[in-house]
Amino acid sequence: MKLFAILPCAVAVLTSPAVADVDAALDRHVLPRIDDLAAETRALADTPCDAGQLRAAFDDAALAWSAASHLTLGPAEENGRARAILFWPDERDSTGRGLRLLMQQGADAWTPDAIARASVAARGLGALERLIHEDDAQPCALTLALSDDLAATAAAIRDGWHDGFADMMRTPGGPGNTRFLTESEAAAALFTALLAGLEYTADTRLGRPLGTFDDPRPARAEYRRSGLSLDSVQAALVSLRELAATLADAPRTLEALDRAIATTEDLDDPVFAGVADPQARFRVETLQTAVREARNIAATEIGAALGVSAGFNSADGD
Amino acid sequence: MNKLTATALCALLATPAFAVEEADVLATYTDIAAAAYGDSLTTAKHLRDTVTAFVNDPSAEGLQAARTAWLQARVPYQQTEVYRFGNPIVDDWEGRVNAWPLDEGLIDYVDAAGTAPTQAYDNNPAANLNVIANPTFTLSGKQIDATRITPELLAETLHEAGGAEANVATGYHAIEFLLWGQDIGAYDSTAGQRPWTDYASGDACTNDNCDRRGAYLVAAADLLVSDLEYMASAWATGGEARQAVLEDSDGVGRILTGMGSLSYGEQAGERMQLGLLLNDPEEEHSCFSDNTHNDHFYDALGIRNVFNGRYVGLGGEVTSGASLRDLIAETDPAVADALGAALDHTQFRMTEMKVVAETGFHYDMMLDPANEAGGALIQAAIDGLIAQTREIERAVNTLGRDQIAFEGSDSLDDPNAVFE
Repeated sequence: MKLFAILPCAVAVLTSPAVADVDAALDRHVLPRIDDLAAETRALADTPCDAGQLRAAFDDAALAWSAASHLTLGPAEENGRARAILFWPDERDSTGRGLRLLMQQGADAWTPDAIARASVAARGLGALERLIHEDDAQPCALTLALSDDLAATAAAIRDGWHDGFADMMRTPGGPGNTRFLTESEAAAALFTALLAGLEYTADTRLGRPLGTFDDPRPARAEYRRSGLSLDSVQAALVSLRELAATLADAPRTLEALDRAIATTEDLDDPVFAGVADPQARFRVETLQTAVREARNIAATEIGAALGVSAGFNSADGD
Repeated sequence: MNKLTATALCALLATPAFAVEEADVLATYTDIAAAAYGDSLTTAKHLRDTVTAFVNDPSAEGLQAARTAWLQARVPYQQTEVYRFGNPIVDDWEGRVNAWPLDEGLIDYVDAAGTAPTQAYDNNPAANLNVIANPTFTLSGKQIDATRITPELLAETLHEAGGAEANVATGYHAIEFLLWGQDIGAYDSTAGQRPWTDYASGDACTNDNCDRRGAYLVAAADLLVSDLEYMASAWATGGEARQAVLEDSDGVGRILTGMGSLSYGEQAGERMQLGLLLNDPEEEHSCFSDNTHNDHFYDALGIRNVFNGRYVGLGGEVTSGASLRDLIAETDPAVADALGAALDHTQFRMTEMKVVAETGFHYDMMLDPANEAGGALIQAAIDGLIAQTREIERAVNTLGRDQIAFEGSDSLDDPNAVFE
C-alpha cells in the first residue's frame, strides 16, 4: 500500500510534469504523415500500368507507410486497416497464398468490393511489392485494383483522423469522449506509439533479418523485393524523431535518434543481406543497438517529462 | 531508490492502512493460480488415464472418451493464461504445453487437402518429418533414433526442431491433433475426422504405424502431466512462482500486465483479429477439434477471475478473497467499476460467440469471408477486449500515478530536486 499512501504527499511536493503538446504533435506530425500516406498511395493508384513508373510510385507509398506505421491507434486499428496497408511479417507465406488465390479467381474477384473482403495478406503493399517488383505489374488489372484498394484504405485512415479522432485527442473528457478522458491519456497514447514504433523497428524490421548469429535470416527482411529494407528503417526513424520532438522537450532522445539515423546513412546494405556475414552483420547489430538505446532514453526522458507511462501495445503478446 | 526516498519523506504524512491490503490481493491472486493450475493438473491426469486406456484397448467409444477428457482439460487451463505475461516463470514454460499454430506434418501423416504444409519450406525444413512413420531420420544434420517414442524424445529432440516454432511436438495441441486429426475443408461444419482405427492393432490399423501413433499419444499425455505438475507446485505454498509474486513490491503491476497483455496483443490481436483478417482457418487456436470459441471464452474468464478475486474450480469449489477490484475501488471507484463493466461486456460478447458455436456454427465457419454475421460475432468480442485494455491502462494509472512519475524521472535521481 505504500505507493498509494504517498499519493497526497507526492502531489504536494512535486512540481507537476510538463503538459504534452498534443496539438503540436497532431498538427506537426500525425496529420501531415497520415495526409502524406493518403497522397502517395493515391498517386500510386493513379500511375499508369508501366513497371518503371509503378516502381517509383510504389517506393514513395511504401516509405510513406514506414513513416506512419507507428500511428496504429484509432483509425488505423479499426477494421484491421494497418494490416491491410502492409501485411508483414508474413510467417507462413500468407501473401503468396492469398495472391495465388486472387489470380486463380480471375477478374471477377478484382472488383473493389471483392478485394476489400479478401484476406488482408493478399492486399496492400506486400502484395503490390511482389506484383510490381517481381512480375512487371502483371496482370495490370489486378495491380490497379490492389493499388486502388490501398489508396481507399489510406483515405479511410486519413478521414478517420480528420473527422473525429484528432478532435477526440484534442478535447479529452469532453461530452461523449470515452476514448480519452484526460489530457494525460492522449499524451500517453502518442508516447506509446513512439516507443512501440522504436521497438518494432529494432525487434522486427531489424531483428527478423538478423535472426541469430548461427541462423541469420536475410530473406525475412521487410521490403527485400523492392530493395527498401534500410530505407524503411531510416524513414521510420526520421518520422519517430519528428514525433519525439513535438511531444516533449527531449534533447537526449533527439541526440540518440540522430545517432541512429546517422548509422543508417553510413550503412551500405540496402536489404540487410550482410547479416549472414560476420563483419557486415556487426554493422546491422550496431544499428539495432542504437535504436534500442534511443527507445530506452525516450522511455525515461519523455515519460518523465509527460508524467505518463506507456500503455499496452500490440506486440505485447508472443 | 527514488521510490524509497519519496516514501520515507512522506511516511509522516501518509494516511494509515486501507481496508484492502495489497498483500491480501496478491495472496488471492496466487491462491487462484494454485487452484486453476491444480485443476489443470487434475484434468490432465484424467486425460492421460483416458488416453492410456484407449491406446491399450482401442475403440470408437475410447476415442470419444479421450476427446471429452481433452475438452474438459482445456477449461481450467485456459483460465490460467492470464498468469502468463505477468510471470516470467509461466511465460518461459508455456510453450511446452500450449504452443500453436503447428505444422502437424512433423508428427503424423497429413492430407494435401488440408491447410498444413505437406512439404518442407524455408522457415521449417522439418514440416513433413512424420515421426510416427519414421523410426530413424536426419534432423538438422544429425541422425536421430526414434525407434522408442518417449516423453524425452518429444521434449528434447522434436519440440521446436530446427529452431522452427511451428514444430510443436508437445502439449495440448499436439494431443488434439492425435485425437481429432486435420480439419479438412475450410469453413465447413466438421472438425477433424481421425478414425479410432488409427490406433487399432493388426489388420484393423488404418494409416499405418498404429502402435507408434499410440506410443506418441501416451508420451505426449505423460509429458503434459509432468509439465503441469511442475507449474502447479510452483504456485503451491512455498512454490517459486507464488513467492516471486508475494515478494514483488510491484506485484499488483504484474496482475495488470498479465491482464492487459493477454487482452490486447495476444488475444485480440494475434489470436482473433489476425485470423479474421486472413480468413484463415489455420489461425484457429484449436483448429483440429473446433474448440476455439471455448479457448477465447475461458481466456476472457480468466482475466475476469483475477480482477474480481474469484475462481470457480472443479466440482464448484470456489477460491476467493481480497480482490484487485477492491483495491482499485479504494483509490477510484469509478475506475474499478468501469473496468469491471468492460470485462463483463467482453464476457457477454464471448458468450454470444460460444452459444452460436455450440449450435454448430463453428469458429472456422465464422472466419469465412462470405459469412458476415459470423465475422461480426468475433469482431464484437475483439472490440470488447480492446476496450477493456483501455480500462486496464486507467487502472494502472490510478494505482501507480506517482510511482510512474517517481521511477524514470531524472530530476528525482537528485533528491534535492524533490524540494524544488
